[in-house]
Amino acid sequence: MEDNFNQNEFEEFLQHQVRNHRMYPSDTIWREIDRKLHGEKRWPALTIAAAAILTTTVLICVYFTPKPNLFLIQPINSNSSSAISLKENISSSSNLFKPEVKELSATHHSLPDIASSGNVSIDISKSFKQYAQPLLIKKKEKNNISNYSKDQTISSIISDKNTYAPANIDAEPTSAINNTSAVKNSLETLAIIVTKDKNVKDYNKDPGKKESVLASNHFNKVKGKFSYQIYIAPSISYRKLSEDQSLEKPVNAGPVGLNFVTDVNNVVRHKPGTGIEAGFSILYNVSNKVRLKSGFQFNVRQYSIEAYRSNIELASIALVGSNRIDTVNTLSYYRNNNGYYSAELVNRYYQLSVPLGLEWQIIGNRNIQLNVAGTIQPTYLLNRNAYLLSSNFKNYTESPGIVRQFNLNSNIEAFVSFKSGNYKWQLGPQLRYQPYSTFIAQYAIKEHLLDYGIKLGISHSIR
Amino acid sequence: MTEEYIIVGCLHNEPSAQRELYNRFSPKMLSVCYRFSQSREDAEDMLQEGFIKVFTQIHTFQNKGAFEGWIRRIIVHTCINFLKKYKKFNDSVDLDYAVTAHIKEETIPSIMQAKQVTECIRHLPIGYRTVLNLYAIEGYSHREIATMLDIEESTSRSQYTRAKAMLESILIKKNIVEKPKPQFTLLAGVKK
Repeated sequence: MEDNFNQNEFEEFLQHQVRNHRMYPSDTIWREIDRKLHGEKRWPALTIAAAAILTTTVLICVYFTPKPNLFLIQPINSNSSSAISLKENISSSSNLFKPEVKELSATHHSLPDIASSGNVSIDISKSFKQYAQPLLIKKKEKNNISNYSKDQTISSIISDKNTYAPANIDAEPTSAINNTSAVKNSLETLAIIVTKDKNVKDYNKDPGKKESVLASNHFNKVKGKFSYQIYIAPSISYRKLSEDQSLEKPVNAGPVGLNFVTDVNNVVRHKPGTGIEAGFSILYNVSNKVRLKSGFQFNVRQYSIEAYRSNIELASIALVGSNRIDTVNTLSYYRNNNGYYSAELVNRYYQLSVPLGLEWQIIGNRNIQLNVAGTIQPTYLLNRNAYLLSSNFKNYTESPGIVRQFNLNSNIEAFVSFKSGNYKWQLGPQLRYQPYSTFIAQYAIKEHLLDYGIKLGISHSIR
Repeated sequence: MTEEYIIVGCLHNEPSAQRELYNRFSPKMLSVCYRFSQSREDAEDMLQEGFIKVFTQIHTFQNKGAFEGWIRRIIVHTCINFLKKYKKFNDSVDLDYAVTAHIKEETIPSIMQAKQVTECIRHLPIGYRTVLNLYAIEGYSHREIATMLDIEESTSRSQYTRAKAMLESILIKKNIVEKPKPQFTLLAGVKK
């Protein structure tokens, strides 16, 4: 009898000890079970983002691939200079003339050189008018004004035979007539264009006004470098928890022992939430490809925690200082496990931030570009009522003093921008990360927020 | 969410009900698996396999006993099958080894008594541990254990006696229980 009694006592002892023991499985176990029960789940955002990036890449590649010129005729007569082939190419295909003029104008040889070839037909003037106007306007602005003296008029520029008269005009008299008339026509066109420029007219008419004109030009130039942007980015907010192992102390070191037995990520169950960011930026064009940006941004980030409602309980939070542990005691209605019924707690953060960063255009033309950008964002937290885990991982409680008011975020993004009228639209994925914990350094659990989003923006140049 | 609601949800293969069931019972069941296993990784594999069985076999639950007990039985059987499958249970353990088996003290954390006891059980040789778990904690009879493990009933009894003796010595060494006294002892039934 005694043996039986004692034997039962031993088993009861074991049962009492062991049956109260709990261990918390990692989230991967549930994901694996869920996958086996319901199959592989696809995250639609990833698919959409991948499809968007792929489509954009294909479109950009197609857009920027040079089209083969099916009508290109290779020069047959190779005994003369390149001017002969130029003539043939020009007459055979007007498309070919376009890149040729670009190249010539870029090297400041366009008109005299074409004329000096002596082989340019009358078609040049048409082609010249058709294609070269924008290029010559630029040339006029950049070069002609600076190259000629202040007293020279446009007509004198035109009549300046030293500059524009063909050098070998006598070499082929028959075509030279055409040539000179063509050049003259072209130059007249140029003169009309140039005289339309009010600043240049004023500049020539009233040399006294030249400083104000120059100042005005400079102001417009600087002003034209600024643009403003409005944007919005729906996002999915995640958080990553970690424990500061440097704060680990012996269990008897303070009133509340820190619980590092289990990885905190295995203890909590949280779900990502939908957030949003919206803001206003001013951009400054440092160069054609690089822009500085700064502005104001409002962020909403949130995630939910699976918890259980229980009786009111004491939840203690250990704050580990350099040489002591303080305890913050709060009352909590929520347990991490085993309550009356399940409850969903939402940690929602409202933030104001000042992004400061750079945009870089990787590839593109006037109408469509592919860009990358990065910013750092000093951030001010507007609300501090977040749910925290108690130091023994058993309760969730609120303690606003433990949440940081100021923080820092970083952001990287890639986007496609395209021009529509006077506005420039942009669309692309972005990643926002908070490298510093949401909570103060003395709280052993570190929370880093991470948002994936799609950013849509519109910008307009300030003129 | 009540237990009935969870069961009905699981019968309809609803993910939210399944998740709720998992959240509610997985901490206890992982502890069960951990007592049977060699490592935490093994325990998590057992738990995963066990819960898949729970969800796929839930229609066989007939509301005759406690739902937790039904889940626990499935988990225990999964653990035994896991040990058999990976031939972890086939290593025979003799008494000599049991007496001289040394448990490294630093492997047993002294945080909570329940955890300490669990760790002490886990450090028993696998044959002893399994029989002790099944008999002393899960409440199976030696006959049932013999059937489950494909061994003789007498083997189960002897393994249990030896497991108990070994566990007692470990618990005393770790100061979890007091040393037995001649008149009344906590573990007086253990023969020295």
